Amino acid sequence: MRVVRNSGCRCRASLDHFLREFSMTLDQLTPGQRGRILRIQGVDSVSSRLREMGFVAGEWVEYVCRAPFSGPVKCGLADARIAVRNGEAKRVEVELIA
Amino acid sequence: MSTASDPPSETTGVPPSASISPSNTDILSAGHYRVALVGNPNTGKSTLFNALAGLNVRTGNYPGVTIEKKVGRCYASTSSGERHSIDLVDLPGTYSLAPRSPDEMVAVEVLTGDVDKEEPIDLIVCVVNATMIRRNLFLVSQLMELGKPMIVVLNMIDASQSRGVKIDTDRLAKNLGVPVIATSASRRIGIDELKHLIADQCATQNTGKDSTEPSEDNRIPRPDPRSPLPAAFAEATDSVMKTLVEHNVPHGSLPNPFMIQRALIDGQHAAVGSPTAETFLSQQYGFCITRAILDQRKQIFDSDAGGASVDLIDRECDARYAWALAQLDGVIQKGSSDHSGWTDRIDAILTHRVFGLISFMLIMFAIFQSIYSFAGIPMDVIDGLSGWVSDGVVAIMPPGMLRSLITDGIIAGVGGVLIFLPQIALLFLFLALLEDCGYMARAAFVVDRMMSAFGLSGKSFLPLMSSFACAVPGVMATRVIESRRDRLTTIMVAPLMSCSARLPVYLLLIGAFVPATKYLGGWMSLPALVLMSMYLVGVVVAVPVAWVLKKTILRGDAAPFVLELPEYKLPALRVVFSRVWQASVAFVVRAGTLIFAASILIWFAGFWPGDHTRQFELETQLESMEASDQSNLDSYAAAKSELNEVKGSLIENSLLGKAGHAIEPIVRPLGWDWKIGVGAIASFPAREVIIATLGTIYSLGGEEDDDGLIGAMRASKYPDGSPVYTLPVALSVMVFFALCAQCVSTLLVIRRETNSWFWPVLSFTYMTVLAYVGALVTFQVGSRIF
Repeated sequence: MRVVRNSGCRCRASLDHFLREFSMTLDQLTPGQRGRILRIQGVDSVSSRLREMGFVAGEWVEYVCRAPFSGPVKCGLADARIAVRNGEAKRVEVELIA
Repeated sequence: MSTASDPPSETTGVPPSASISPSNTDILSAGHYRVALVGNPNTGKSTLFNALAGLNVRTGNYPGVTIEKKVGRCYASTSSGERHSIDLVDLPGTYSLAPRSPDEMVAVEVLTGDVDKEEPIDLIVCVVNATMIRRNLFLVSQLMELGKPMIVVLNMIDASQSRGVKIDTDRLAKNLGVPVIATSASRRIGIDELKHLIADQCATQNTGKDSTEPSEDNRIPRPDPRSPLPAAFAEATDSVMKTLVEHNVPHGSLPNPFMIQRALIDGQHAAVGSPTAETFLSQQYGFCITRAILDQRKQIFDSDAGGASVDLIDRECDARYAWALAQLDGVIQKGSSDHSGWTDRIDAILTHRVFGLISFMLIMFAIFQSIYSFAGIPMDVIDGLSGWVSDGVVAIMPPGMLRSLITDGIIAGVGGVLIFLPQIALLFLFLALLEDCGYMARAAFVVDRMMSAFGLSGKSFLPLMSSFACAVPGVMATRVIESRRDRLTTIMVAPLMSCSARLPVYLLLIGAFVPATKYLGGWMSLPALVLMSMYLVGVVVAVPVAWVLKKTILRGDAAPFVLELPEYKLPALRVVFSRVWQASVAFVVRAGTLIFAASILIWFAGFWPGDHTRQFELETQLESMEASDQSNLDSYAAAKSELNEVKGSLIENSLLGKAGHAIEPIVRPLGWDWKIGVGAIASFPAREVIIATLGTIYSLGGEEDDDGLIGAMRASKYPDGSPVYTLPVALSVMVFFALCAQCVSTLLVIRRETNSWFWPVLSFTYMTVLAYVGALVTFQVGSRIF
């Protein structure tokens, strides 16, 4: 599946709608898949922690693996490896790039 | 090696009177500066701290708060040859200066000079991981806004070079506008250069400050112009500052503009009960600042209404990451292999959903197995040594009260505890190795799901793991947990983890009563398995305790879990060594003070009241028989058995014996005799005391034999001839010690950390009840099986 972000679209509302329909969240990726971060949902201490750790729009993120008993997701972000729980991974909206 | 011990050249020719400087001990150095070491976690900051300060480290607390303050001293000379003494303040590793947990708050207050006002920071050294500069520049950009002189250290430069990455430090320094230096703390590359740079920066800063200081005092502090944030933030900060001036706050005590800016950005979503910049400011300046901040926050929103995000933190992060990218323009040349593959290859096994769990358990088992087997040799040496000292005392002193105090009280007590120094050192060695090589974060990752099942997160793993060494640092380590409920739950279950003070108790009882059966061709032994299961008892019990706490008094939502898994690296031996050293020193000091005092008290209670003249007569008689070597064996044996009888009846009638018999009905259902009961009661201040107590009781009671305490316990019998200690009794004692809150230091640290007596009283009560019930069940079930 390949989602192409149409940056030329002038109508912001419909772009947002389009992204919400077709984008995924980090927890939905499968091992080895890479995506580009679209945005972090919500405004609270969880979202600010994620942002400080480098989950910002435009950044690449790779789903590496999951811990035993469907525990946290380990992902590659820039040069770092970061583990986030399912709840946090669901807050990270990504567009899938192959 | 560092030049700390070299005599400084400039002291020659200084008149004696001039060397008595009012400052303090640093009579040999020209200046005295304070430097803060800041950085993200996993940047090798502690290795760098160690390389700079060596073992010259003091720890204490910040005034008024309970955050540990770690200060190292080093000496460095400037390029002009002036020698300065530098105090390095090691701040907790953090990703951001937005204070959200108590120790992040202290880090910010130290940097802005709001804590330790009399000792402001002269220079900030920001440690950056050279393999992930861009992420680390986030913190750098925040630090630059503090308006203090700063150095950026690109640490772990060797790791980055080995991947073929080239970093143009000069260009980065030019872009950032602060000095940049590349180091590798673990290989000690660039350490001396860094010291020079620190000294130079401190010295130039100082001369500059002297001339401008008077005028600066009258100026209103303004946000640092280098800030990458949109102009609206600086305008709002200025405006809040102006409000304070209008409310007649003197210029000298105005806050750092950084604090106001943080209050503007963070204020929106503060977690309940955790400190924020806004609460800090309103405590200092009252309600006027709260209102000004609220107004100005609205101003920022309005001024930037077309902005991308409704969230100020979102805007802040975007601005900072964009800034970081711009700073790195032309700085980094990617090498051929841009990722270190072997960390991922090791992780493919160690974080695998099946093999990860298996390797976690194997690693934990290997640690317990080696603690049990490797420590045997040094233990025998210490044991032999204490026996030799005891024999020496017996040889040179006539029988009497003083000799009894030294051999029965002090040597049997303190010596019995000191024997376990090798194990303590080994345990801390393994913990330090696991943490420094990077495995600890993987362990937290692997066990997080299981921890979340009972309401905790992988973040609680490190405090709980540290509690296996000692609950005191474990409880203090909970400060990294942002959620108050998670933090309190972790504090409540941390003392259930088997700390190193329980280890001697386990080892003594296992050594005496668990047969050394070997399995799998000697790779696994029954004693090591029992030892591991004693550690598991605490863990298994902690699960329902945490679950109940999270369901009742600490109910609430799950806290966030975002954890960086650092690159694997070879452990830095200096860091590991210094941790083992500090732990061992602390253990010996404890044995020399607390256990020493307890031993003397217990000896006295076991000695008094009673008429010991007959005992001393018999001892003199026996020793002269041994010396002359002519007397017949029968009379020797008769005297010996009379001595044991006299000693036995003396201890039964002593204060200790009476107290023991009084509590015997309570401990009888656990399978204990009065001696174990007394030992358990006496060890409520500190667990190790039980060994000192039993050592003293058996030594005073004449049951000590050639095999030391283990032999005495094996030989110990009830009047009807049945052995006191059976396997179920030993297990019941161990379970009691595994679960009981027998540690005054832990309870006091819980009191300090929670700032309430409720939590220490709760943990003492529930643990004592659990311990009694656990020991009861163990003995009652065990004695029916075996």
